[in-house]
Amino acid sequence: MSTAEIVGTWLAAFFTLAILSFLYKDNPLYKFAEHVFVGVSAGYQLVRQTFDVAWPNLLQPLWGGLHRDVDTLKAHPQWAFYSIPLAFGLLMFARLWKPIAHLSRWPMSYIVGAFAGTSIIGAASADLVIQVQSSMVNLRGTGPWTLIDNPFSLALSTFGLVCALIYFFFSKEHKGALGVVARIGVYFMMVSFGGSFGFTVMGRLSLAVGRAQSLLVRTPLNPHAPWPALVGVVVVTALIVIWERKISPPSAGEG
Amino acid sequence: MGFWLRVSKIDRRILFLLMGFAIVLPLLHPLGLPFSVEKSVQDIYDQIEALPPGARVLLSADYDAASMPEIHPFTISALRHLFRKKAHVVIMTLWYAGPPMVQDALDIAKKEFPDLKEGVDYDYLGFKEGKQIVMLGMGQSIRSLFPTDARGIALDDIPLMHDLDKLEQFDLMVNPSSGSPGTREWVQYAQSRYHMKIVAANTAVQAADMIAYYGSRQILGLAGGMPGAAQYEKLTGVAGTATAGLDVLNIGHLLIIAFVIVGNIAYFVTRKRSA
Repeated sequence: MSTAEIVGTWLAAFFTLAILSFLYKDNPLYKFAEHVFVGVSAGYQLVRQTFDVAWPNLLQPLWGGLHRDVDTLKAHPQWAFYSIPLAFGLLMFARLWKPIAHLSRWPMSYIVGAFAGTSIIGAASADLVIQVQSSMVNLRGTGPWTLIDNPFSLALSTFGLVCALIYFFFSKEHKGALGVVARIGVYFMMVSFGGSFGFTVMGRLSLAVGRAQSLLVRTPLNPHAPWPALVGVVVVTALIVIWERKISPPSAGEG
Repeated sequence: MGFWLRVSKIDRRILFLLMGFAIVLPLLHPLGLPFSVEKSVQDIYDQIEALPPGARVLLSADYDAASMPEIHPFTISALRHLFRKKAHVVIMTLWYAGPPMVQDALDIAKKEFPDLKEGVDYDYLGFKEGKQIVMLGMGQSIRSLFPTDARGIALDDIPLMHDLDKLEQFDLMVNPSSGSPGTREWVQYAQSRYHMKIVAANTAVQAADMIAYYGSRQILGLAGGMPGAAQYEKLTGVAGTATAGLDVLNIGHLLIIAFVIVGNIAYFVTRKRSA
């Protein structure tokens, strides 16, 4: 294990605990870790986008074109097309100068238009047509009965779908039978939201488990575990105690 | 102050501390609680198990370090399974923070297979910006989007990629994903347009939405969150970090359920008394 990896392991433990110190209360150590995280993320993204995106897709072809002879360039006129994304990319920076800030809307419009166009096609085919098709089920089931594929579950699912759709039918006041069905639709949706929330809780807990594993479990990347974590706890606690004493010194009667 | 009133006003930091114990103690002393494999995870395993040697598989690792505990164990297990089946694996990522994830998963999975050759048995194309535009482009020509692989070698010079240039040429796609672009976009652009067979592993938050795609067979298998990854580890026979984390999840969930029940009792009792 290299020195850089060892230092990285200790720093990871320290920053994890510094971030977790927010659970106690907002403090300068947490702020420091947060700012470092934001800075490192921005720097990482800048480097990745420059060398993995801008350089191979735009700058390298343009740079290569500048060094070719005129005959080669005439034979491959598509080289000139790279000037269009370059111009659009530069226009994005126009918003930094107020007199020409409006020009930054052009590349933004192109991006929004392109993504909206492609998204509509994808959503229409995959989310609308096929999902509607799959909601038209054979209520008897298609094969050996399972937890999902059995007459009761399929009928319940279809009933819930109809009730939830009726809740979103606004052309008639939700009273009487329509109101009852719409209310049942709300209950189905609440169960769905509860399921989503349960998944969210599990996801957040999984992240906590991941950090705890990285701190406490001995692995090839963290052969000294749990010492970095234990030292980190002592250091973070000590720094927070010092900070608390600084912002609210103990009164004369206290030791 | 009554007991329930004190419970309703408990300092939230005590709850954090209890949750901390619930996470740390099972990690230090694993309980090895049993768990079963869901059909949606079994389906992923069956899809890969059914691949003939030399089958072409695309693995797009669309996640970053933030969802590593949930997704990464699955990526490692899936790569291990694919290498065991002698599939030809093309790996890529649409997330700028994805490359370190791919590299780490490859390093771990390759250890068992010293004879694997990069460019012959597998190849890593690298990261590509462009989200769904990349998916659409790969449907026409992979070379137009990835002229070279991550090592900078032209695809025409890579044996694995000799006659491989379109999404529809892949026998299967494995998509560990934690957001957008991810499984939803691959279904919308690759499955619906090029009829790709897709299996996916998602974060727990995302899996709730992807169940609809599994129900409609737009994806053929789904592993949700850390439990999904643990189940896949169980199927492939190599227990990893997801299996180790499952004890903690079980204890943590029990504690949260207890918090919810006690909190609700305290709320209703104190409301009744104040009324």
